[in-house]
Amino acid sequence: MDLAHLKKQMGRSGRSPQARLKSLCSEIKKWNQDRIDHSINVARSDLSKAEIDILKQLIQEETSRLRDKEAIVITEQILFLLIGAIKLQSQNDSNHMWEMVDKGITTFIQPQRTLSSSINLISITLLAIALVTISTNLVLRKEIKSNANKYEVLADENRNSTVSNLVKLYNEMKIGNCQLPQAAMLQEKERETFITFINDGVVNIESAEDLKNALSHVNCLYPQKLMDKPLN
Amino acid sequence: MKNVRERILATATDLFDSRGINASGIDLIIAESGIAKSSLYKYFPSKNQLIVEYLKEKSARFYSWLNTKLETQKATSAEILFELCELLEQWISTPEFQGLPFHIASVEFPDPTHPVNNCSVELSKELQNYLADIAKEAGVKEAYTLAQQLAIIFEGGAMLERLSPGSGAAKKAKSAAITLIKSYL
Repeated sequence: MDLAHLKKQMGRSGRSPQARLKSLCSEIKKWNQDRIDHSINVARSDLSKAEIDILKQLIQEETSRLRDKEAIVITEQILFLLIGAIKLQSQNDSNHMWEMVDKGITTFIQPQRTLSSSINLISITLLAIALVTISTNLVLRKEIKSNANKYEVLADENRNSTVSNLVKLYNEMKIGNCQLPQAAMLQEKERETFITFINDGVVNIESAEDLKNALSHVNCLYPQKLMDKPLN
Repeated sequence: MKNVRERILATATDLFDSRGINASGIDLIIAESGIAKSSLYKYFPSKNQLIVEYLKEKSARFYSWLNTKLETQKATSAEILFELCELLEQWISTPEFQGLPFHIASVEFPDPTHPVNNCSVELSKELQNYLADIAKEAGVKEAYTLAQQLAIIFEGGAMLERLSPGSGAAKKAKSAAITLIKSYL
């Protein structure tokens, strides 16, 4: 096993540790096949301690570049795969286990921590989407509800604005902030409504428009503060 | 009292385990077992056949031990795979562990046409099939792929443990195997 040759071959396979480790597998597979082909009745599946050390060194150089605090563990895991595959290749004279080694390396390089982080990230994203959807729905519902209320209020105000203004005027007159208009100036229908309003404080819904007209005719007699909101 | 066949096999096992297969000649086995040469050839027509029987016997004992342990644990689904890893760790950590028997045989008989080498290959596949059956039982879809990976990992772990006993290689191989199993569940 030639350390310099293996490093050179790994270097050609790219910059990523994954690519280099897979290249190492490929090189070791070739090296072992060559060993099998050239060994005649010689123990061929055992590795020397020096060979194991070379393998470990090559793996470690790549796993240290993964910036993973579990780099030592990953090194050992990949080392088990390589040694096991060398032995099985030698025993069975078959190369198919190297595909399993490739898959295994992919699994070890993407440790459980990363997988669980990905799952957490997906969960958090889903949760965030759910929260945004729920809150958007709530805001929309609230807006719809609030708009509905607003329109109801507006509708009520439109319907009752004359009455409420009249009531307000009556109260102002009662406390003396407003001068009594001269009923004689008004048309008969308006005058009746106006007198009822002045005497009893009653606003008949059906004759509210008449009262409004009556008050608009005499509004010049009211104090300024009542003129801020003239009757429509 | 053991019958003659069992006595020959037991003596051969002791010698093969302690001295190695090639280093234990037929004459030594006959002398150690205290039987006549003709009796040995009656039950085992050749040394190769004796070696093959030795490997099968060792393998059968291993599976018997493993099955008994797994049945005792009554583990279900994925647990059975984790339990299996525990047992494989125990097995390769024992002081008397000298390597997987079929592996030792293939080291001593590297010629792929040799009957002992062929038997080793068969036993190696048997282990993968055994692991695949357990993985299937545990609900793993790619059971055979996982089984092959587990076999590779434990082969590697067993070798490192044998080279440096007590180094923790068996335990680390178990952790690696568990990481692989989890990736399939």
